[in-house]
Amino acid sequence: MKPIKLFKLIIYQMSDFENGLKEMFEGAEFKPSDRVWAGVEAGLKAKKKKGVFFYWQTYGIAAGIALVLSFGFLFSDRFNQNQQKVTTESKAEVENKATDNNADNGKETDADGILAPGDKAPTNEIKDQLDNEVSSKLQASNSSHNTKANSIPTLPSKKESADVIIVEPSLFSRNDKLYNHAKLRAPQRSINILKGMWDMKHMVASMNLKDYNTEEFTINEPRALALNGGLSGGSFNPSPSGNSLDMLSRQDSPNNSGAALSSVSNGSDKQLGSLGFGAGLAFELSDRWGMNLGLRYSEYRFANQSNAYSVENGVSYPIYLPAGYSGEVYFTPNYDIINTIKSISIPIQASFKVLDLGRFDVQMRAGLSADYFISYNVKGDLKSLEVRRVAFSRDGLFDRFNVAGLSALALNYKLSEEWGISAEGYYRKFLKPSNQEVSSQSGPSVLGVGFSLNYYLDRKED
Amino acid sequence: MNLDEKLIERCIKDDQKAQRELYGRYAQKLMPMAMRYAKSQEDAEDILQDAFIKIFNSLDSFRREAQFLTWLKRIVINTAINHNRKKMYQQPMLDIEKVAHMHIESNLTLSNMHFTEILALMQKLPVGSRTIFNLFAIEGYGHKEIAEMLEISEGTSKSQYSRARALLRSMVDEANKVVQTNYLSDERF
Repeated sequence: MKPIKLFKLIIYQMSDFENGLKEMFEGAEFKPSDRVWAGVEAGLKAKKKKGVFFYWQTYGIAAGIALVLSFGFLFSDRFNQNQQKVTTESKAEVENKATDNNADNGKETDADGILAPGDKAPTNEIKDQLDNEVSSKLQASNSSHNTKANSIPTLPSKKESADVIIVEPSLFSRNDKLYNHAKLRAPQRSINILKGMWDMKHMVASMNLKDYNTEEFTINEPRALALNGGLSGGSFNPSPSGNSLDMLSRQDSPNNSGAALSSVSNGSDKQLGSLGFGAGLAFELSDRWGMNLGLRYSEYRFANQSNAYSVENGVSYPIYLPAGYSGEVYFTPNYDIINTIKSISIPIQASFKVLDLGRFDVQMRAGLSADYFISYNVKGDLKSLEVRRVAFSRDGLFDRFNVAGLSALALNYKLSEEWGISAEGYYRKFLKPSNQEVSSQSGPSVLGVGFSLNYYLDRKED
Repeated sequence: MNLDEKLIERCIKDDQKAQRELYGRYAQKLMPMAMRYAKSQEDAEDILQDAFIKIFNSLDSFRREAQFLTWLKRIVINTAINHNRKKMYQQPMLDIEKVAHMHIESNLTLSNMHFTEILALMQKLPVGSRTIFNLFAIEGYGHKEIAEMLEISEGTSKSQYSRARALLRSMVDEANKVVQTNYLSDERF
């Protein structure tokens, strides 16, 4: 028993020793020297500096998430180029060329049936042939369109139009040189407009141009074909209100040498604004310098008018000249079109705090954004028109991928340690691709304002 | 949200005032712990400094259900172990022969001593033995845990603990004798 008792005694004494030590250190306090806090402070600062690039996720000064809503306007030189100038040509010239082509059996034309300049003047026999042709066509045209008078007719299908169109499908390339010459194709007279002219000449027709169903006025190349014998260089641009008397007044003298050619045209672009939203990350690299990175969705809208639409593979589309078109073209009273461009962009900006007023501060920002245009649609304000989806290409109005320069002036307000709001005025200028041949054009630009709600993951106390 | 939680929240946001406040509130409590593992006060301050940097950098990982002071102590212990690890392999542990002949008094008492005196004695222990003794006797870790923490065998942990304990008791006993002697001599005069 003795050894056991002794063992127990030893164990007790050991526990007593450890318990005594524990009690002794429990609640013990000892003030370290000041160098400890100085070392801690220095260590934390060193960590922050390192964190800018290597530990950005846990970087302590100010990483923030921003939800951005922006409004702006898109401007482009290219849009203005759609101010289609009327190609004027005397009625005599038109008739000369037309009859030349009509009588063209074995005459010298190019592969597309385009008459070369300097073709011979038409003979009286050919003019008579033209009248006869118009008369015969009119009978068919009147019988099929009488019921459509005074209303916007349904758009013709490709098959229907084939019965009345006497022009060949366009093989014109989009070449400004060709446009300038406004070359006419051989049978390029519209049944309807000639019908109008014939009726007026013989005083047998209604005075309402709509009876002539001008929306079915077909051409193949809008810039090249000038179908109307308008006066004083006015374009063939009947208004939706049907003020075609103006047109008719020009026709009362068929031999008027001032008759002009007209073509597809759009008016001036009217900005409807852009709307964008997105999210971003912001890092304060120092007291004044920062960096913003974001992802934004933007939608730009601008309106215009058009006086024609095209039928492509049996489907009717509105025409906005800078966006391009193909197929057969039909003139119609002016209607509204809305261009919508959607894009996703990744902006990256450096920011510099120019003014710090405590809760308020003002930042200047500059940087670049990579933009991807998701879609470009042209919507016409006519029920029968489908939305034109414009293809992006280097030759077209826009490239699909774009780079834009960014600059902004932002006012930030700290609501609390976590939350803040910002308002910025910004300017974006799309950079012209290096291979862009049209040197006179500059890239489109966007001017707007943005608002953001910021959540600070981490913020340095001032 | 109690005071600590508010302070922690502010520290997480890099509020330097809050960091200073938190440091002021806990540095004195943690310093004796750092001193138990260190060989000197300067060494202890190095441990404490590193520990606080780790604390501030990992505050966002602190789980609120745990005791904050316990969490802080664990960081100090880990920092001290890392601090001592290299030295532990460089310095020899206690020789059993050296400890075997030590006379252990059964009537040793700690109540006559201040913790700084005990600390001074503990700091005389070799770094490895001191670390093991602290972990087992005061922190309450088992030998298996200590073996894993220090990457040594469980047997080594046990034997080193026994030797460190015997040596410390011996030193405490010696210190008591000195105290008693001084007391008696004071009484005589």
